[in-house]
Amino acid sequence: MIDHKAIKIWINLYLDGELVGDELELFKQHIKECQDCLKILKQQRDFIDSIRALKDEVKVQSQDLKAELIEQIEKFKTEKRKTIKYIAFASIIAFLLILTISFIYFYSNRTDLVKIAVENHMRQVRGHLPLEIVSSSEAEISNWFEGKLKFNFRLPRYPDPSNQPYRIKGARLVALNNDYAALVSYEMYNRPMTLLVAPSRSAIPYGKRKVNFKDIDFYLDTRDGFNILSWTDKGLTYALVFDFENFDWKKPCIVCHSQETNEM
Amino acid sequence: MFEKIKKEIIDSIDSLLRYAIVMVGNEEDAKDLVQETCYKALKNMSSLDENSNVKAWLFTIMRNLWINQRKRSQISPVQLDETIEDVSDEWNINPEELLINNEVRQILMKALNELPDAYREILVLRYFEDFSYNEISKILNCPVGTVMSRLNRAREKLKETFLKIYEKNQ
Repeated sequence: MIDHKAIKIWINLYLDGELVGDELELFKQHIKECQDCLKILKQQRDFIDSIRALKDEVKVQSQDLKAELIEQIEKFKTEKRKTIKYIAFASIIAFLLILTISFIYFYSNRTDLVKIAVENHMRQVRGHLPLEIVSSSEAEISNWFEGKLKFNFRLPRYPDPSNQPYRIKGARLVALNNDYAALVSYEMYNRPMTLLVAPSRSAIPYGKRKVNFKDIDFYLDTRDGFNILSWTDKGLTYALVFDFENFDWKKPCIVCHSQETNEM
Repeated sequence: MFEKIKKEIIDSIDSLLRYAIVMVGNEEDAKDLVQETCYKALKNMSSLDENSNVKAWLFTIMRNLWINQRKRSQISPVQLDETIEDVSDEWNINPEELLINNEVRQILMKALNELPDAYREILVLRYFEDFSYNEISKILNCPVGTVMSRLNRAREKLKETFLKIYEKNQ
């Protein structure tokens, strides 16, 4: 049995399409049986339809406004596209700028090791850079460098010590990019020769002449009357400085780059 | 997606204008309100997704703009007259008669315009624009229960106001 007070609310819900489920079924059943409620339903439907009919009473000359609004929408679209173009353009510029800055930063941090090597060689020869360890032993020098450098560096031993064309004098640390590089002093043909070693991330080899030997590019250059042989191998860049002529660059290279190399 | 929203905005212009006129009361202010609504909607299209109810969203924007305008004008916003006389369920005017009888139609329109804003607004949203209770609750930012009760009162108040004017004219 439905409460007749509730039916009035149900009528409105029904007419508004908001009555669902069991209540809707119950309501329909009740309306079939109750003439009073059917009458109220019909009257309320007429009333609501009368409200709906008022919709057409609200008349506005909106053609001009509509045309204007549509134009504004189209205009907005153009501005939006322009904005997207500007954003895309700005993004490309920003990307190129970042790329350029990164490139400059990367290479500005990579020192021309050849130049530094020549300077250090000259100072070493003039006695301004005394050796911190004096030894002809590769093992002793390698051990001395241990813990002093941020990279792993060990001097290799010449494959045939009896025919070694050079003599090791000693080694020291030198400053490079707010860090240390390894300097090893040699003597060959009674002339001084220095080897400077630094991580390849902060030092680059350089030379006007490039020779490939055992898959490594060796660069040969001449500066201030010195010959410089530089190369990069396994994360380290090397620069060998000497002043004698007719240098057979393969001889010292054999130390590291021959198959018989023994690392100390 | 933006093209679809734009189309829906264009399709809703007539509804927005009708709602604005009934609520604001004059054509010029109503047009300004619609224009401002469309502009704000275009600027905020990216906040919608494909399943958004664009029409209800537009009405929400318009209503918020309208309320803000009223606050700026220092006119108190939505106010309800809660005292409704006990109105008979009798309604002996059918819609056909309303269509034919211009005088009755005008009286009902006058009665609608005399209703408090909150009643006029909810009747327009429900019977002019066919929004569901749920959609109306989102537009008005109130619970569905409030929509239901306010709509009941609005109908009663309209009937009461109509009958007063109608009897006065007889």
